[in-house]
Amino acid sequence: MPRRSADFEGLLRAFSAAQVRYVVVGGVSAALQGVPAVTYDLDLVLDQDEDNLDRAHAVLVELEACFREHSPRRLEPLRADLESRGAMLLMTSLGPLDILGELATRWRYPELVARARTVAVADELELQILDLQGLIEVKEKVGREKDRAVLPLYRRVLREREGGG
Amino acid sequence: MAESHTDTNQAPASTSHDREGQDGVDVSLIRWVLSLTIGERLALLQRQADSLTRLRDAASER
Repeated sequence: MPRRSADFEGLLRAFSAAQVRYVVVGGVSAALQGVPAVTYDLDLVLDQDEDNLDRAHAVLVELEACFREHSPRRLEPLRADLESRGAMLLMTSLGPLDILGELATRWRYPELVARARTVAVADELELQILDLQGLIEVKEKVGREKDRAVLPLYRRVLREREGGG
Repeated sequence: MAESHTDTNQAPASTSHDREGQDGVDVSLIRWVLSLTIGERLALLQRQADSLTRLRDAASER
């Protein structure tokens, strides 16, 4: 039975161990940078390099990934699905995982890497995460009510990190 | 008899106005999370997500 909340470290290690290149976005990226908000899924944007997508797809197979929205039918992501610019909302053996092709700002992997910070989470686990300013710009662009609602929190964390108090 | 909070070991109770900025954000919570290492923040997020999931499931079973 799949986990109802993501095993964040487990998922990240699965991709990193397979040498998949990705940038962490969304709630996990925010939390790692100090935003005190909970999220239940992991959001990643993959490098669209062919070999990288091959490795990523292999990880998804290993994690028994399937599309959440088709539950209880089991529809597994194809290798070609990873080339999409849209969002793949998946359930895996380690919980919910979203693979995003691009963000609302039209940023794909290269643009995100330029805006990413590299952080060491644990032994042999180094992550590229979209920086807080980038996360704020994405939420501003998306403009949904739930995104606008957390912007004061994100902005305050950014000010605290920058020493503005 | 203590005449001020400095005469005791107790700090004055903070009001919600003290804890929150003008934007209503709890700055004390932000500062606490920022005091954690990256690994500690990930572990905290995991515990929170797991705990809330359990609580939500327990509530829905009633």
